[in-house]
Amino acid sequence: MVCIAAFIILCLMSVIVAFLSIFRRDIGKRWWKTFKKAWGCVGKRLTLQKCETGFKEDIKNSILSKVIVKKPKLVKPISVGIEVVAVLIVLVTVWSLVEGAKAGLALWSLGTCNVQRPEACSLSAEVCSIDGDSGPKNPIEAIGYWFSDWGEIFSAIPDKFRDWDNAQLDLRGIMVHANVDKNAKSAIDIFDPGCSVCLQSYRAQKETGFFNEYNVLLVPFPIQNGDGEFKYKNSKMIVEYVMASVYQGNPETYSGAVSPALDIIDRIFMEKDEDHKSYQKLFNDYYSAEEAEEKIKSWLVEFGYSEAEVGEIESRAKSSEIAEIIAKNNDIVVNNIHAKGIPTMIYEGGKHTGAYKQ
Amino acid sequence: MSDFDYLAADDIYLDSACQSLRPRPVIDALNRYYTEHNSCGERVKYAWGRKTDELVEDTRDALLKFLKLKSRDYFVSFTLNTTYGINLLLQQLKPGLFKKVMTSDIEHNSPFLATMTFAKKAGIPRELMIRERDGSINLSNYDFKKALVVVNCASNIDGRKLLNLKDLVKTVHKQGGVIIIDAAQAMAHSSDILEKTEADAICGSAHKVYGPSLGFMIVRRDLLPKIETSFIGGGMVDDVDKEKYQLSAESPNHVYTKFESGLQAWGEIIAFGESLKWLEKRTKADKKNLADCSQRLFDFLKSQPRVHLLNEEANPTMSFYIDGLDSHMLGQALSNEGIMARTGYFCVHYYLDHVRHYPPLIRFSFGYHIRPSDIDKTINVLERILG
Ligand SMILES: Cc1ncc(COP(=O)(O)O)c(C=O)c1O
Repeated sequence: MVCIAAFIILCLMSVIVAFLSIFRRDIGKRWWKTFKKAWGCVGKRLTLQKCETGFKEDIKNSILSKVIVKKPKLVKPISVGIEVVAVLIVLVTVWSLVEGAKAGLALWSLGTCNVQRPEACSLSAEVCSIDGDSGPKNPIEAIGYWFSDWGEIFSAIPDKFRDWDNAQLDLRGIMVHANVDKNAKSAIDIFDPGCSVCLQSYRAQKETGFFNEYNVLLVPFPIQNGDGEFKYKNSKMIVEYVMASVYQGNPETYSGAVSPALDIIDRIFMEKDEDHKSYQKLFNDYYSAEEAEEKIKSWLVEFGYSEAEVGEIESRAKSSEIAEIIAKNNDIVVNNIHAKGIPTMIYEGGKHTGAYKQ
Repeated sequence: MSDFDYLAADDIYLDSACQSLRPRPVIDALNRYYTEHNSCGERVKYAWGRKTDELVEDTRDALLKFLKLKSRDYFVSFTLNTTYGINLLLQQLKPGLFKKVMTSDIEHNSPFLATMTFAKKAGIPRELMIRERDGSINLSNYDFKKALVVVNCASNIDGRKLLNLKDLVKTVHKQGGVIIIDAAQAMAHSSDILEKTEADAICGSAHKVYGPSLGFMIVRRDLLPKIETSFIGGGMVDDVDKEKYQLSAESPNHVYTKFESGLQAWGEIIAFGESLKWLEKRTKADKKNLADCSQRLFDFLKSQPRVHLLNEEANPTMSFYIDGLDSHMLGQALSNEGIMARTGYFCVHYYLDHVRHYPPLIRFSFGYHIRPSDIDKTINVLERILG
């Protein structure tokens, strides 16, 4: 046990010494000699040869030799202490290796290394995360979360080998109609109007011609965290109005090209008000619920609906019908696509999380 | 002792079996060579060189005299150390002359390994003889017919001596064998066992005999026909033609050049002569002090229930381990107290580790520099450790 612990310490210290040598060659050189011997021993042990004193003994001996003459009674407890520390180091290391593996696997399968708080993962692409609930309240719960994370990770692994087919997903949303070629490949783009990464992504898609290359279905998705809260306060309302507008154009499918719906999204992502504040920011941080709704309604008029039609859209937006459509979309995004953050896009048979990059 | 006046009161050097502390006269002789007659021996005619040659000759003579050997029968060559000497012999002995090679179980790695490679090279078996607790070999157990025997005559574990060395040499010779003695440990305090020996060669290290870092070989002249020179170069030839050479060793006066390839450590050789002189001057009181110190520490170690002492009797070289305490750790702890002792298996891995399965050991080995106060302090520290 001490042997493995010593190996770990040796690895860490070698890195430190290597770093130190950059600044203080003399100190580095002195330590390097010790490490070279220790590493030689590691090599020998790995090939099952003998080594008279290794790094493990060196550490243990140098500690014990300092106390044995003055306080021989302490040798036993200190020896035990060293062994205990060694066991702890091994446990911590095994733990961190498992955590590392978990994070790596999660990054690969779910696109984030932090299952509960995807935004907190600095290794993944930037996303607006769909967080879990407020997290464990006690160690027992933490263990439960730990295992449920693994469950999520493993259930997402098949996604990596899945050939994503838009038709099978059966999501509702706005068809972007910029594409002239009707035979172009299709794509799905799940976004939240309040999500800043979605804004970047949308802008990038426009700039690089993503909407010309694919038949894109924009799926508005108000991010709701595990505890039921909406991440961006006005997103739910905006999505309801957008989906109600989509219905106005495509009552059978709730899916298709409806320019006012697209115009709302486009304005939120692309435009600013007279004070040069982006609409996304205004909806997220400045408008009250009433102001926000009034704004959307005024835009719908501006984009060509009559007052009566806007009234119809408003009542549909608040209907259980639209609520169900949104809930169904939500279920597909979370439980079928296993999106941990958005934007999440599906194109060329693959799932892509984070802002669009060409 | 004033010859070790440089040794501080709190420096306790207990590793003489590896290297003795050098007395002042030896250090002075070495310095004199460097400061007064630094020169290439054996090659030059100028005054400094002649002085060097003279003193080197004195050392060769002194060494033979030290072991009461006749220059008619033996010559002395110098080399790096015991290990090198043994290898020089084994690498150049004609392998076809032997039916087997024999050594003993308690040997230092230097004969232990060299006999392995010899057996392999010659394609002959290697036999390990068991050393009795008193160090002797039960001769009736072995057949020495055409055997090459390489054994120590004093062990570096506990100083036990090859008590029946004389009989062994006689028996080996009678059965047509050759015997080489590893005298590394015997020379300093047990050289009497080698006096007037008839062994074919004796290898030793000056650095274990109060001398400078140097090896020596004492070789019987009649062994030479069995040697096939293959380590060769400057300092060994009288004449060289395009494809052949004439060895200086062919002349009886320069026979020692047989093993001395290249420039030798003249200063060290000369200082070694001084150490032999110094050693012969040890008084009864010096010897008694060494024996008393050894006995006191032996008695102390023997009385401690947790101490496993390998020695059967007191000797300036003692090895032991303490139940439940790692010897390397203890070595460091002793070192923190100024006590310098060897830990581990002292190059006797086979016997100590693989035959006896001992844990790493601690070895105390004394020389004439030892002071009663060193023993007081060592016992005191060990008492504290043992609780
Ligand atoms: C019995 C014995 N043989 C051989 C040797 C090797 O001596 P050197 O290292 O001087 O070659 C030693 C050294 O400790 C020894 O004790």
